[in-house]
Amino acid sequence: MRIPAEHNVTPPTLDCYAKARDAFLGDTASELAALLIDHVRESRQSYLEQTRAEEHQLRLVQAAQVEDMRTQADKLRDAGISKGAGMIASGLLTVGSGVSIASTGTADNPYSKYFDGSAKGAEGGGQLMAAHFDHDAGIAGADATEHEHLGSEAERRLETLDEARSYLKELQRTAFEHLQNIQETQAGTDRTLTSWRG
Amino acid sequence: MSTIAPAQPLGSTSIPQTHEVLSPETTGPLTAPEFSGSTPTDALSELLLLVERQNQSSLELNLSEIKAAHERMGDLQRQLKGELERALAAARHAQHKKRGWFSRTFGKVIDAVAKVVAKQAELTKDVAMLQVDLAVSLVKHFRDRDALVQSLKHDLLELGESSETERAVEGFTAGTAKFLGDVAAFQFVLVAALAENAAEGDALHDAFREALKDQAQKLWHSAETNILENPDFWTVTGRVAQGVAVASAIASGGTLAPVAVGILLALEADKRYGYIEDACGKKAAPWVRVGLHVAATACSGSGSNEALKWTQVALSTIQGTGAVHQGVKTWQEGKRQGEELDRRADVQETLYQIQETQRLMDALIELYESKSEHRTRTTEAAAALVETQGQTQAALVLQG
Repeated sequence: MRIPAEHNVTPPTLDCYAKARDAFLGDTASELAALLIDHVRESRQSYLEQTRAEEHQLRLVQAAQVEDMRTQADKLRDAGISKGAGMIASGLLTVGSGVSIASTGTADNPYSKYFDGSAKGAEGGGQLMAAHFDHDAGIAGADATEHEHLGSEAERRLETLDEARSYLKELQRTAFEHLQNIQETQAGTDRTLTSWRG
Repeated sequence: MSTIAPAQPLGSTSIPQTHEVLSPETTGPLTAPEFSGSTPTDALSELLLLVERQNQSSLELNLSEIKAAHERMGDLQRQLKGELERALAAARHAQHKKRGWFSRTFGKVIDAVAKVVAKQAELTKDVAMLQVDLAVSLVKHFRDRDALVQSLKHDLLELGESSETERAVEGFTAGTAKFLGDVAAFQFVLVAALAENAAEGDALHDAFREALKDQAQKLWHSAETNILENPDFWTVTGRVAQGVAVASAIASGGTLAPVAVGILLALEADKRYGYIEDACGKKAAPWVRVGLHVAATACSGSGSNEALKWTQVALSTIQGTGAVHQGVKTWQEGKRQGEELDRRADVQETLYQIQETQRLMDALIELYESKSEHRTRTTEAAAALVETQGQTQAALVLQG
């Protein structure tokens, strides 16, 4: 569009156009938009590093939780074996007591008492060992729960980082749109200036 | 004086290399407009180019990574399916399990025993028949006991009528009766098998071997259900064992007859005055009476000491067998709990791997979308730049 040399309406001065363009070019908003894009780039890099670190942490605590569960399983198994073995030994010794009564002909014999005492000792020993293993199993279960909670924390941090990355993406898009508008405005202004000066 | 930067030819129109657009007096805030979008001096293009350089991988590489993650996800899902099926099978097995370790072993042992029996048929037959005869003789012996036994039965009946102990005695009686019935059936099959073997030769008939095996397994199931896992049986047995223990302590002095007389007198006094109920309480009184009757039965007669001894042997054997059975059950339960937790750990580990792969897939898809979007935006921006450039050049042409 060409602006006629002779115009009925007093045309705006060049200074007005310059001021209008300066409102977009070299202004604070454009500089801020450029800085935002740079900030987005650096922040995204930082968030990616944090995400990698959180993923690593999550993998570690989840692996630790699974390992704790396996340890708890082993301890539970050991506890059952200890208690069961104690009861089996106790039962066999009780049967032995009966056999000693049958063989000696009287219940008041030293073998029977030895077998009875050993039976109680075997059962008590088995329960003692089982209590020890149950204690270890409980500790392993508590560790597993702790690691599960740590994993949940890491997952929440990952979600926060995802949201931050989405926000950065939106911020970058807005800054680009702003700069694109500035570019188009600048071009339009230049065209107008060229036409007006011409 | 500002000049326009060299521009690309637009169609057949020639753009001059330099063009005066502003008078010398207008220098100052205006800078030279950029008409070439592809030059590094274009701020927007430069920014777009820099952001584009952040994409390290190509879209094709991104797609291949997504495909690999998807395949990995499929593998993990199949793995999870297998683990869940195993867990389900284990749960079903535990729910429908009727035979324990002893039972499974027992079935295998029967085969081996049958082979041994086949080689020593006559001898084993004699031994088995002797055991049967002994069992019958023992039952008859106890049935022919004197009035003390009748009194014991009477007290047992009283126990059965008591509301507090009725269930325990009923359970004891029913379980024992069922088990004895199964024992009789087993003995019948065993004797039949041995008789068949004696007639046929040196090998057990297959049908009888299978029948014997089945019957042995049924016998073990019956023992588990009616005896070993019957709480009423152990309640009554424990009470009787306490009575026998008291009798054993009394009888250890060697003067059994006065003890028996003393116990009988105590029982007679209790019948008249009911002091046991006052002394031991209403709940414990029937049991104390049963124990005293057992003790009196053991102490009376010429073979009283023998009866007491064998009663103690039988009780020790029963209680020992019960303890062994409970120990095996506890062992198996511990093993089952451990295996269940191991399966849970396997499933949890696979789930974590699936979640990790899912996050990886999400990140790859997001990256792919970002790259696609960025490429689209770059294309649109470039088109807009070219359009703006064209409009500016058109304006210059008109001006020129």
